[in-house]
Amino acid sequence: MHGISRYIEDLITSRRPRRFWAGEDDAAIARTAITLRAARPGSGEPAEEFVTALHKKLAAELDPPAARRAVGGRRMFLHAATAAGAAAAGAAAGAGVDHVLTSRTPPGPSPASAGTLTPSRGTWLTVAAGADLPDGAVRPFTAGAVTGFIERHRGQLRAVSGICTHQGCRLALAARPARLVCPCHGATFALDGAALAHRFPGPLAALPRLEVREADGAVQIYAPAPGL
Amino acid sequence: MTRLRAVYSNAYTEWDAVYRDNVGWVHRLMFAKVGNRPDAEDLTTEVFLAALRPLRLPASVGAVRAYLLATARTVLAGYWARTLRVQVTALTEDPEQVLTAGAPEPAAPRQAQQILAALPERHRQVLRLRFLEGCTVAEAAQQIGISVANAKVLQHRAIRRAAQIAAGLE
Repeated sequence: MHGISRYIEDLITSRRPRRFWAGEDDAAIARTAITLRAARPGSGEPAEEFVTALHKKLAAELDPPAARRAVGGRRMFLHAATAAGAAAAGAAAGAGVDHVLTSRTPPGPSPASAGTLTPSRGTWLTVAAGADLPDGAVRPFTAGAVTGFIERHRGQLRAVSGICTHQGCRLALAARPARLVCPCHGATFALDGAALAHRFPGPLAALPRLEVREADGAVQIYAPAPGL
Repeated sequence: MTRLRAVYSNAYTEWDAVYRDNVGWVHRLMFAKVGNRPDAEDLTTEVFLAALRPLRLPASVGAVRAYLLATARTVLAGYWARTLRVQVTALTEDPEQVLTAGAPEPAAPRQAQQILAALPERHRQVLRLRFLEGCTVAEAAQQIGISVANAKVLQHRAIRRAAQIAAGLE
């Protein structure tokens, strides 16, 4: 009895009602008291401060970088590897986006960049003839212990590792636009090594880059020397 | 052109719009079911925290509202289970109806008027003064012209009578 009376007084005086062990009779009375209290004019309107505070809280939960934590279902989003693209992806990441691609401006290093692979005992190994690599062309290569892809991009040679930074599967080359795609979980990389799209929580490291040069008409990669 | 526009304006593309467009009715609905602001705010928060993250956008306005309503129903049931341990109120609004009829609005004011109308004059008076006008017991006693002790007794009887009437209305 005391419980329900106090409950009603709390409702009338706009306090959070204190709990009590309610029977069925109490429930009926509480229900009626709630109906009567809720009929007070304007009482159900949310307070402006509350609406603002909750919006802030939700933004912290849903907007990047929080949105990069994959929660819920699995979807993949492909995006152009431009700074504008990265910004747009971030802005759109609020709602259905489980996680966001890491993206970057070519040719700068990716935020999750693994840098350049420089073996402690390396040597220049020829992987292609310069003539076989016209501008825009991409070729897979194996140089000793390293496999990767080499591209002549606007006259410059660049090479990246061909092993996915997630779990080490060998990447495949997809044409138009040229992308490196992992057959295991579908992660996609640009030819400069940037991770473009993936379905994993957190950022995915960029592909390590390799030193490349053209000497006497031969395209060479600086790779570990054969043998140990 | 007009047709495309109409379709587009009927969908949400960002969580921000989902929130701004629906926080009002979710809060009003919760307030109507718990009768106090602190709990209504907590439950509204719970609904949006639970609903927004898995939400796939774009989605139609009707579908989003039906989903929010379904989430609110679960959240409210959990609230009663951990407070009074009795399902005092429930969200009985039909999600299917929300798909076509727009955001649900609480029926509390109409129900309250029905209950009050069915009460004897003094019972109606004390409940109106206290619940709808927010008077203290002393203020209510003064307005009715009785002692504070009698006002307490009157209110006690009136709310029981009202509960019986409400049960009959359901």
